[in-house]
Amino acid sequence: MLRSPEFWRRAAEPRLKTPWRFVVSALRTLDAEVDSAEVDGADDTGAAGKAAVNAMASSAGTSQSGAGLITEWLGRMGQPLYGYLDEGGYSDSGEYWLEPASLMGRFVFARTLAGGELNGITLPAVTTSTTDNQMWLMSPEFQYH
Amino acid sequence: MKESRKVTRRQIIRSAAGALLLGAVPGISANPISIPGPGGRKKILVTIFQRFGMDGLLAVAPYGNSSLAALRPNLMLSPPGSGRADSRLDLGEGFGLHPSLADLLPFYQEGRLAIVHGVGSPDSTRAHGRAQMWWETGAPGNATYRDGWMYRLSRSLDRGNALLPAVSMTEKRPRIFYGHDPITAQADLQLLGFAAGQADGNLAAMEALYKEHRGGRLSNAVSASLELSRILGAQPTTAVTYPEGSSLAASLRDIARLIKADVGLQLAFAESRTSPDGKGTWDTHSNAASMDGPFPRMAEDLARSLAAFMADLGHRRDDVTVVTLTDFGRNVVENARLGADHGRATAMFVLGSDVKGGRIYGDLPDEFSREMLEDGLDLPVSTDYRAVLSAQVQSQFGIADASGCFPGWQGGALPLFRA
Repeated sequence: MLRSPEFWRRAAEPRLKTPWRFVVSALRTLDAEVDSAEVDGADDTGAAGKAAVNAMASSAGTSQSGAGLITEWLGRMGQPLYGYLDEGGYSDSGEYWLEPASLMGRFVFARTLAGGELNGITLPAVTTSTTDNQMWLMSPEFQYH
Repeated sequence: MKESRKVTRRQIIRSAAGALLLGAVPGISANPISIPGPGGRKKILVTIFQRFGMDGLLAVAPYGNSSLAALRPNLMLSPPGSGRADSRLDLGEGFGLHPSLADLLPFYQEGRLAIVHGVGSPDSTRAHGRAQMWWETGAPGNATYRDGWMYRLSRSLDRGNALLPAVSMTEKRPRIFYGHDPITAQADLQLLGFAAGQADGNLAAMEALYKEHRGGRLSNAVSASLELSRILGAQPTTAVTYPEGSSLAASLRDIARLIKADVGLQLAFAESRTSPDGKGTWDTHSNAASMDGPFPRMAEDLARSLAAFMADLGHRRDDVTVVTLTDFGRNVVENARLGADHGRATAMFVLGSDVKGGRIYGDLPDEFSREMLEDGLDLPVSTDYRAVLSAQVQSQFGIADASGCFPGWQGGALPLFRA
């Protein structure tokens, strides 16, 4: 198997991240700190931010913690935690999620996360600009392993 | 063959020829939507799953049948014209519609709504999970099929340059759409309209990145997503009033929005799980006939949502068929709590301009007795649900052999549609 050209060709192909991998890598890239504790009466959205993004985050923001928000966003991207109906679990190919809702989910998540608008998720003070971070998370390159 | 193996996908993408090829892929061009003329429009199927088993004989019953009344005396309701709140609505030939389904009556009278009675799955399971699986995989009794029949149907339809050929208005991808390739499952369209509100250069810069990227499927999918997002965001909100607080109504409103936006939608799925006040269920083990019980809540939600949907569609309603699915019917014989437990055959609604409606398809017995009931309790299945769904697949989508959707099915199709 190791000597077959098909094996190496597959290995050399760039692989798309699943929503799960995308979210985890985004959090790690930004060195974000995720609060998993319940926060009383917390509003999920920050005051700043684009109107559409705010509307999105607040309308569906029922979680009271950063970790809860992340699982909500995974659901919106089409990979709700433990939500697959069969034993095999979700596809490990990112191409399974190449559809509009999942992709727009990535972009909106990237903007709100890098914009520091997700309650319960703290970003460290960094030198890179918010816009640069948003663009990096939304870029084609970041969608691959 | 050997020669072509040496060419990797990346090399093709890098080559100028590859770039040209990708340029021709639908979704990447500036204006991928052609507005088809009348008659050239594609047919659209909307399925609604009534979770947990609708009592078909409560929804539609031969109201004057004394042998039926002997087995379910408390689940008959009042006959048409009796002036009571629970008076059935006359469908003719001795059949009466549940009064809470009143908003469906005009469609029946206009000949656009067909009712199929005594319909169900050949597998006799009375368990919700199993029964739903058979309706969704389209392969009753054969658990080796894990993918859904609407998914398989989506693979056999010509999607042309559709931006969104299929959608499930659910938080999770339902079994009916399970399969290897992407399918959009989203409880509301707000996320999809995201790009429209973004007038800043940020998004434009991102779009440019993807245009340069030429990463094949990813670039194409992103371009199509942004295009779809802009179209949906620019759409005016509907003037039609849908039932408030109803998740089914919200799903149908979003489906109507997609249909009117001409984004190539052909398949849509929605669920009827509970009523706006959360007290409704199709799983009517108790208190089923009460006009303040769980059934009228669900029936009213379904009928009013569908009526709003058809009004909202305007002339596009001519392209659409709505079909209802449900786990199973319920026992003919009522239980001690004025309800009925999980049973066998039920009823399906088929609504659309091409439907030969205004009549009840399928076979119901003239005389009900314990002897003729399945296991002494249940309405036997006289029509396989696949015969109903095959009618849509064959007459509306022009797929001659429906066994691609329903593996092994050779039972033909009910003649539900006008030629």
